[in-house]
Amino acid sequence: MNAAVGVQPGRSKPLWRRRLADKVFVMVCVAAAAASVLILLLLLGSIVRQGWTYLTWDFLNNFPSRTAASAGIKAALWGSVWLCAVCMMLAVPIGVATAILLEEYAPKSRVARRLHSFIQLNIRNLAGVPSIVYGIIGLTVFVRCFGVLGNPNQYDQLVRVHTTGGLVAEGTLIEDQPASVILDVTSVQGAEQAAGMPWPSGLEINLALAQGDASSLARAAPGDEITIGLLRDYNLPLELSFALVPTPDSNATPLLTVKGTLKEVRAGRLLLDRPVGGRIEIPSTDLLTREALAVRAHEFRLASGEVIRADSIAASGDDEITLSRGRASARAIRRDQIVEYRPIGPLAVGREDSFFYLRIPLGGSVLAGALTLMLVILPVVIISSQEALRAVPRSLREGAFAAGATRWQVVSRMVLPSAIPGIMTGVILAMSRAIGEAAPLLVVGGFLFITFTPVNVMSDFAAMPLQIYQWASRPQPEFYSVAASGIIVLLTVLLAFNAAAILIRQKFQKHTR
Amino acid sequence: MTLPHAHSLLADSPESTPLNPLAHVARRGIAGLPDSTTAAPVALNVRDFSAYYGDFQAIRRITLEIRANRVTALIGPSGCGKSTFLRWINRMNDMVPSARAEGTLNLHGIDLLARDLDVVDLRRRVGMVFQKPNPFPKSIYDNVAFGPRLHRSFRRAELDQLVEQSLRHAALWDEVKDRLRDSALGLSGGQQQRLCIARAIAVGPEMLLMDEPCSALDPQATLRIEDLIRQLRSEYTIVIVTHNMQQAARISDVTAFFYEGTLIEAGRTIDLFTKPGKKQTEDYVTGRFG
Repeated sequence: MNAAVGVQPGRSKPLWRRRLADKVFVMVCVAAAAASVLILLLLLGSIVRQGWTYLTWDFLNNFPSRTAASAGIKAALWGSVWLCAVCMMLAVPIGVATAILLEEYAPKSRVARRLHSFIQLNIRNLAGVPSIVYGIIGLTVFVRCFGVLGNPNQYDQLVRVHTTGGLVAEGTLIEDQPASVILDVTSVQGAEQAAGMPWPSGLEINLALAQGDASSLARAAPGDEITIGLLRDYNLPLELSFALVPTPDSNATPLLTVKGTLKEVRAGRLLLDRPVGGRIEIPSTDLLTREALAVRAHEFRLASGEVIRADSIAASGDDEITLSRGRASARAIRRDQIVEYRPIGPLAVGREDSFFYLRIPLGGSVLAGALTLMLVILPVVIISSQEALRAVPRSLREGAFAAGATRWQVVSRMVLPSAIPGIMTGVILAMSRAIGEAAPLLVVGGFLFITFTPVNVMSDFAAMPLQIYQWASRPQPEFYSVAASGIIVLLTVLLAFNAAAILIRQKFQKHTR
Repeated sequence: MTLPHAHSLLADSPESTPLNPLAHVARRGIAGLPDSTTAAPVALNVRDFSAYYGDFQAIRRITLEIRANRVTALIGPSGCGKSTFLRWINRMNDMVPSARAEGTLNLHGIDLLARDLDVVDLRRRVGMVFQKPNPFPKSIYDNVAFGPRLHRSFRRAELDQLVEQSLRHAALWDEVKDRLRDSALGLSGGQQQRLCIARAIAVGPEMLLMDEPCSALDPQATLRIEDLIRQLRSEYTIVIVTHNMQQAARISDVTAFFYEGTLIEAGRTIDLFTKPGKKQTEDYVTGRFG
């Protein structure tokens, strides 16, 4: 009789088993959630514990250094802020406008509808493309502008050299052999602390060292003879006293002091190709400073009256240089035939050191980096903006249309204000991705070690992920802590972004609730 | 843009609600007034009008005259084409990619099916109220001011006055005058629908289209909207789609019965309900099908 009620074919499952399965499922879910939170806390905890010691005001205010104690994140922090700000200013209008086009201006004709769905499909695909691919695109399109306007890699080929002798020479660097010194060591102090330490940027004698490692000095003992491979932009004082100090300008006790007498200087050569009169050779014993000048191409006028434009110059003999342009075959020119030399700067608007400065090709600039990051996040911005627009009820659009609004009025007065909280959410997500990207910036030419902050969108830049990567890959254990400090700063900036976005969302949501 | 009828409407005193659905028709008959239902000028002339969604023909060659300052009710079972017809009058169907129409749809000499018709101007002249109240997520004030602001800029005092007038016409002013800056989403369903009516009349239309305006409302709110429709009749030409035959009988002067895209019968409401000319109409209004 009771079998007639709710009879189902097959074996019935006992109630206790179903209840058990229910409980087990809940427990599995709780365990999974707890595990992920625990791992996150563990990660954050270890980073904070490691990074805490270096996290001082100086850390934010110092430029990178070869010593962990004086290393700072200033250049990378400001580089990232510039990148993200420029990237956001580019990506948000373009992304939102694209989303509006795709959502609000659905085409009527069949061909246009095909194109519409094709674009739609491709945007979804692009969201999954690895960021390194965008890095390559950025390198080709933005950094080099397909190479049609000169090669920005050769921008710094033109150098101006100032020497103690009052000589100012300008030309293209065609040969550069660093000088080296050989030292008879008389005393070594502080070898233990300094072992394994790289050259600091600020030695007591304040030389800019191109290469070298403190370990060779630290290993030295009185009576030794050591060779220090070095020196591009400097002069050699007669008495050398190398010392590693914590920070370039501090008067703190040096970590390592090596004293000795100069035994031998092997002269380096700095060959500048320079117009009239052939070569300029600057001996390494003269104090010289070098500054790079941006240049797009070189123009030579020969004694015969012929004018040659070259992208690059190389020394091909003592009296000869080879000029090449694009894929055309290189051409050798005798130096004494050159009567005039004129560097051609890049196509530019504004002054290099002012806030407003633009040039083409962009080179490894903030703008090129921001444009590349824009490519990375644009699909995310477009898709999330589309979702936000789609979430605006159809009835609101109809109401606005029925009141006699044009399409643009419907979008600007009704749809966009309603969608802004959703769009903001997508933008935050996208920006979080942008600020953490390292690979495309590395390709585009982000610097791992610079000691200045951007002044305009054409400046060279460093970025926090690159800086952290650079620190983490150094052999000295102190730099792990510095990297951890960097991560804390990166996460703080990220949270600040999110907080700002939440505030904006709340402001816009006030009336809709 | 001016509101020619607005001032005169202010003087109108609200009528009491007759509970008998046919009371106003009957009363007019009893008072011996001349029958003005068909005497009014034609506002919208529909001739051989057909509408399609892709290959599907939603409306089959209908011919109908909609009289000015009358309430015309469109009745019929779901999918009979009455909403489609309504949405062609202010070209809301432009948003449906596959929608097209042929025939004549003529509003005071304007061809509503013309390709180059300025739909923005048309929609200013022909307001629409939707089935589900759709107040904008803005303040009550901004909801009413939305339409006028689209068309021109206003001085503050002007706009204040316009908003007040519109809300008064929609019989909502007394309920919201102290909270104009509050979100419209905080209003009850009936209030929201009256706000939508206020929003529609704020741009000064000559015709109001209502697509089942009471179907989402409770009986009390429905009664108030019906009251309002009766009041608005003197100033606007109203076309209302309704599934509720009692409602059609209560508020309309003319009723048109649609069935499967065809206009079966149209005429004075009292005639259609008391002595329908067609068997199908009789079956439908008496509830035998539909």
